[in-house]
Amino acid sequence: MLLETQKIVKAFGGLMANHEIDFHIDEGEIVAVIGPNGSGKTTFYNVITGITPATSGRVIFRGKDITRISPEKITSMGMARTFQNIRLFGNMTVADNIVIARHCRRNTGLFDALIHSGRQKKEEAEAEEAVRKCLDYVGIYDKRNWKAKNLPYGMQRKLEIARALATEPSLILLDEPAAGMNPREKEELMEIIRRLKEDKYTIILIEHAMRMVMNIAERIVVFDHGQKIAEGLPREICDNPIVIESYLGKEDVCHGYA
Amino acid sequence: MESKKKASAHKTDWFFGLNGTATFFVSLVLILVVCYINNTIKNAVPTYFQHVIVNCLLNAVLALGLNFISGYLGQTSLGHAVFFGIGAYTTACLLKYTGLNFWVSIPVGMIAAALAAVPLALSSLRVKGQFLIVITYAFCEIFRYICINTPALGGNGGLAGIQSPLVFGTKITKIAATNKGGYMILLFLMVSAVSYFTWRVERSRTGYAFHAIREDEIAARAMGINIKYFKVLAMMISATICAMAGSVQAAFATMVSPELFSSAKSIQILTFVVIGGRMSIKGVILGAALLTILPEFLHSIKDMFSMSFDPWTILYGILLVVMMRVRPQGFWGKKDVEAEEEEA
Amino acid sequence: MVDFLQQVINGLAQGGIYSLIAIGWTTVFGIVGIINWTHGEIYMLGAYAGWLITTYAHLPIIPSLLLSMVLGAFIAMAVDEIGYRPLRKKGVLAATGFITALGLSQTIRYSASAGFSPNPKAYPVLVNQELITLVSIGDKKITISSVHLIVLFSAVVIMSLLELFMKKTLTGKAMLAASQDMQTLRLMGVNAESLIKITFAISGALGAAAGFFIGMLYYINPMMGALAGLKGWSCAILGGIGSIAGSLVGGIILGIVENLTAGYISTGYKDAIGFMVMILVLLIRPSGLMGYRFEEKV
Repeated sequence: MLLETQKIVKAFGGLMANHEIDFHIDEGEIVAVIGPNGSGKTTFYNVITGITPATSGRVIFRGKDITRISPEKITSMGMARTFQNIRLFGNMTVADNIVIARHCRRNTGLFDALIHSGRQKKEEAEAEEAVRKCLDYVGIYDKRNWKAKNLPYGMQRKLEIARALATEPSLILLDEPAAGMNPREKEELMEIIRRLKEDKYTIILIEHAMRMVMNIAERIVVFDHGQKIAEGLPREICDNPIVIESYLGKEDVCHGYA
Repeated sequence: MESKKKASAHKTDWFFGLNGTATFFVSLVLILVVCYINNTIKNAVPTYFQHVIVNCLLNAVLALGLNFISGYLGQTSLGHAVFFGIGAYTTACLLKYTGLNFWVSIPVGMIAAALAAVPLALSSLRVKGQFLIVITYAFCEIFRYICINTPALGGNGGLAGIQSPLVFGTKITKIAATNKGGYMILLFLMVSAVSYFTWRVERSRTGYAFHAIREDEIAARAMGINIKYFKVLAMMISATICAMAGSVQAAFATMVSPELFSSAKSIQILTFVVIGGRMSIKGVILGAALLTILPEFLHSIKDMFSMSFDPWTILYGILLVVMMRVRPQGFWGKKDVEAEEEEA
Repeated sequence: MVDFLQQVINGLAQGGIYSLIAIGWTTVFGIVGIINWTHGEIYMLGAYAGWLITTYAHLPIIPSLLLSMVLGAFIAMAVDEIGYRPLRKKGVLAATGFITALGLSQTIRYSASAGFSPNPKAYPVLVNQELITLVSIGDKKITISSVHLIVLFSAVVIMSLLELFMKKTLTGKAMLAASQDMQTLRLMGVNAESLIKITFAISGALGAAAGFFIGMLYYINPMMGALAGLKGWSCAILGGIGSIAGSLVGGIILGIVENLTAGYISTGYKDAIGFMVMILVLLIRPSGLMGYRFEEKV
């Protein structure tokens, strides 16, 4: 098991944003997390990545308890994420965004920088290589000198994925990567995620686009009101009356995909 | 299409954009020539003029120091006079009370400033934007009151009679006939060294961490950047650079006073960076020079028309207001890079 | 004990003045979202307006006070018009507003210094200075000066009127709503610009009143705005930003603490104590005594 959460509780004052969530994901798996807005999906991500630590419960990543570990350490342990409300380094170039993400894989300090040591040169070369590789992966290498905030919306989402890749993660958390994308871009995004799967990345995906979820996910977890209300194969989720009641609605949204 | 939106990051060389090393040597030779001429022909360059140059260079060091906080980290600080003052007072006290060498007092002052930087940096972790400005301001004022109320530090009058430093056994004031030449060379080397350092750091792992923190703290943490560490580091770098200038100031003026900690000084340093252009090495140096020469020039107008008040103090404010309206990124700043304060 | 109480009483009037300044800061911050760094200068100009009126027009205390408040209101509106509104329109207020305010206050301060000369000025005697005995314990008496009493009383009256205005009038209610969410208010058809102007006017009037009262107590000079402004801000933070009652409490506390510091520790640290209080409050409990806290959404 790559990641496991045990009875995660996250309370904001009296509000239970997450209530006793048990979750697990194996190496190489793609799991989708779905649920209505405000059901605690992003909170769940924030808890796992350490940005807002859990009120109680445990998060175990690669066999280590990371519940109280800072987000920066968790990233260097190999967990990367994208943000629902895009959080790029807007005034920096696309390439610089990738270089920044290399931070946790570099270890030169001020002194190396000052004398421009061999280590520094090696890292700079590696960073350049990472820029090429990661941007090629999502197909925006030709935009590397653009300012990130000037990119079209869909490309910004792709850059977020590229930036996550640059931290050399084993687990990637995608938070609504398709939001605001047009159908063609969604198609490309699905292609990227499939490729990630082939390249042995483990992925947790929050997404509202059910077509994408049904196509890609191997297992689906459904959240509602901060609780996990269902879990199973896409097929099972589609037929689950509780899920239909709370999220999918009466219409047959998923048959024909799963 | 691509070239249109291309950001010209990292194209400039370390010293004034063009060819850094060449510009450095040309400037150095120029200063040496000035000193030499002055040495042979007495007072070829008026003392007053030399005084202004020394002040320009001193302020350039301060501006480069603050640039780490107000430029790369994007935080506005109204407290950098603290580090300037700590450097100056450390040198003054060590020279007066222990008879220690001036050159030894510089690193001691830098360490003292770095220590003082820690609480300020830690408060920037809890408080942001406009509230941080208030805290830095208050921090500076508190230091001023401590100086005024501590007899060992000379109280309101400060400490006077600080010995000039020795360079290979010669007094620095004797190096180039008139007493400013030696300081000119010393400060020029300091400005160059800090410029080179800034330029190297800007594109290092540390520099990228600063950029990331400025742009988005939460995303920076998600990239594995320890913002606590880097905020403290930036404040320490900034503090040590300003303290260095303070030490020289103490020796140059042969005295220190609580006025070094005044908020006016902090505001001055901040405007060097803002008017010159945040994050531009050339910009902050030229900003410091411009805002040092301009008031001197306006002082002479005051004397010329025997005005009862200093027109510069009023114009200074107007310049700031107009600048923010017309060119918020500063004279030499990179366009479109606003160090956006996060709303508190 | 008697000495201690006497020090507390002596701090009250100064505290009332701080409260007035603090409210001026906090109303503008709540509604426009900026720390108005020119506020201290408006306070200084208010003091000079009062000085001009009382010295040259020989008006009695109440009309003089009201007149300087009106002038203060206009000055504050002018500051907004010249300094902040253009930036607000461009949507860059957060990034550049501070430097603009710095420039404006610099200009105002030194223009005043050029116009009124940097030498301190004193108000003519407006009320007879008398010591009123509050309590007598044995042969010791706790007294308050009549001027202090009038200043404190007027400050409290002004603040009560403001509270009444905020709670009872439509404009006041709109201002309270604006401090919660300006965007929504705009969508509901409230004219945001005029609301902001009113806010500045109120803030300016209170600042000028504070300046007038300080003139009744001490000498005034063109440089006094910076320190007093910042102390007012300390009180606003101490009391909790956005709360009028908080500002009142914060101001009174600072006035008393300053007096006690001067009496029991050292007069040299009297002015520094406000800054220490402010730093501590910001770091330990940024919402102050009576404020609310803000959190960023991830």
